[in-house]
Amino acid sequence: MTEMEPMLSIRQLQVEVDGKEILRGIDLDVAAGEVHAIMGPNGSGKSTLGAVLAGRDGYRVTGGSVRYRGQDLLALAPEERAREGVFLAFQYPVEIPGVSNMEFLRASVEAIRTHRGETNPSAVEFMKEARAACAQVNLDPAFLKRGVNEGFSGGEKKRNELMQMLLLKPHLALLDETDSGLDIDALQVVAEGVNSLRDPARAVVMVTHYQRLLSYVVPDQVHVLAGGRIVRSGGRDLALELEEKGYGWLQEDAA
Amino acid sequence: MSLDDRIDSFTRAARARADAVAAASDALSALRAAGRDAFLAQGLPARGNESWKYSRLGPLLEDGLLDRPRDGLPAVAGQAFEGLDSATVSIVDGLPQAFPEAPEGVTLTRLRDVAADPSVAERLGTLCAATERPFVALNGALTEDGVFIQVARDARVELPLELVFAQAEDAAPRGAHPRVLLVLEPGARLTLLERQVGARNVFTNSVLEVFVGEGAQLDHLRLALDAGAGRWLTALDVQVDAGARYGLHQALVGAAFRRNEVRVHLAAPGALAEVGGATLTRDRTHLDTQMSLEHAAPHCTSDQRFRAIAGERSRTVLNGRIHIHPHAQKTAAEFNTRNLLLSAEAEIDAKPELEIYADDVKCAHGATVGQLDPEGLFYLRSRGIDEVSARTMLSFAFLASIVEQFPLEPLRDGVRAELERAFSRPAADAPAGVAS
Repeated sequence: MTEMEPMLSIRQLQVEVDGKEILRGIDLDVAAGEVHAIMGPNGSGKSTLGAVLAGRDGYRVTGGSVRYRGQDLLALAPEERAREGVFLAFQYPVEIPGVSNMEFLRASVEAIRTHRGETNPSAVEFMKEARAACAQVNLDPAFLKRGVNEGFSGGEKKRNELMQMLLLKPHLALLDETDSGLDIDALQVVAEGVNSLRDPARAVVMVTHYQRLLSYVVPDQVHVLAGGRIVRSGGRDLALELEEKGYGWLQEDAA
Repeated sequence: MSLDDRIDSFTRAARARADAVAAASDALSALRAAGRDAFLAQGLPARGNESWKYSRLGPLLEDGLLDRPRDGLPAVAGQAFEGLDSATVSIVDGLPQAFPEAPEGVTLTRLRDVAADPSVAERLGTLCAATERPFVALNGALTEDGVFIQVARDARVELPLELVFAQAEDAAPRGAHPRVLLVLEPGARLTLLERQVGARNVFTNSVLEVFVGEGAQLDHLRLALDAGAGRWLTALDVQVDAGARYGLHQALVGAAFRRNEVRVHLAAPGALAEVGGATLTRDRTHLDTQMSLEHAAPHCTSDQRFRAIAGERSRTVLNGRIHIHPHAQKTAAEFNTRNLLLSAEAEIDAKPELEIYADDVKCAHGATVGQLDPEGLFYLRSRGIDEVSARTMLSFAFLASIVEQFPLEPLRDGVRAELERAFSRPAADAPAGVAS
């Protein structure tokens, strides 16, 4: 990767789901150290973007490219993307009864750290790390023993996503509506978690419907996605403008 | 030898054995005489017997499987469960061993000493009748002993009672026909841990009759975690009286032959049965579970949940019959089974079977045979876990979700570890003791 190349570079990305075109030519550059917010009305393709970047099945890329740290991201399997440092915080984290959170996290941390050539922590060290991550997002460590997301409330699931992110220390964190359905306290916990990850070597892309998260995690750039295209980009002020005017005035541009 | 010839040969040998056993005169003589008559009248299950459609008799008909066990050999050891405290009753090759000190409120006796006592005789063989059940009849004909367990009225027994059907350290084929009668008097509470232990070529044909008295509560864990050459056949009949609760929690793996016939009779209003099962078959093993819920009274509830995984060339059979009698109004009955095939050559035959003769009931059933949840798979992979490991984790989780509901906490980790070992070991090259 050349020094000038951004960490993530999306060019004219077009994506279909069930034969329906959802993304109709996305261009986006995210440099290391930056935080970007992607906003937009429901059905604009926000979640599709996160899903495609993480490698979810059922999304057909019909055009364009995604470069990530000098590689063709779309050529990698989901687990390879994760090992290369891509992390998607799910909008709807999956419940997996029968796999304990601890067992899952351990397998995940081992896979990723082994790939990075780091030594894996002992069981005791790992437990310590996991507990610390729980404490950071205000999640009872008893959750580590429970099935993955099993019976967690909406807010607990979101905090569990964030806890994983803190443990896995991704290069590129994609947050898919991590703020939705959270009360103000939980929102602050999420914001503190994201802020703690801000680092010159790391990038964050937050997909959100509301600007309120952006009061706590101040983005470098804000993009508005509507009708499968980025219709406007700007600074922090754009989010405030959206808050005031809604999305209607921009959707005409998308048509 | 053709199957018919083998059946003839088995039946002749069974008759000879029955005659030899009948010569012993003890309190079980009446049961044996009735068993012998019933067996000779029925013979073995004929082709076309629906209940035996998926379980071939072959593995039970091999030479020597009717031979009497030799006395005095030590038992093979079962896996130990760390942190589990229990009083253990061992039945080795069908014969009960010295009893432990019984927990308070529990009486343990050898069946052949008490079978003729009126309080025992009025129950023995009544719940699990020998008619239309050839192997129950055979058990009756050949049984030499068993255990009578009684839990006193209102006794709340904290210490789990472990009932181990074990095999002796002996390479010779043989047959064992133990019999157990368990009576919980009204208001009693007990946790029973039943285990089938051993992988040797022994035909263990056991019959358990269980009476859960009014307001009593029984949690019955049933573990059979040894694959291998064992031929295990059990008939378990449970009567649940008014306001009583019966919980059956099973973790089973396939063997050369394993079949559990379970009939639960909800006999009076307010009776409740909760049944859970996690089963795993691999290689060429066989596991057949025949569940039958008899809703014979109004206002009773039954809930059954099964999860099965079949790999390699194994076969899993689950028949879930719910029979709601004409007067059993306000019944709530649910049967749910989810099944996972890991190989194109494995087979799962899962069949809910409803017979409903009352009109005011809530009855639900579901059976799925399927693949892993793609959402769960993506979730694990998105965290860096490779696809093969993710599939293994999810498959195993499918079973573990049942084990996590087991009542004895120290047991859960142990059972989980055993199942995980059975699940993740490589496939066996050789068939599991099944003569082809």
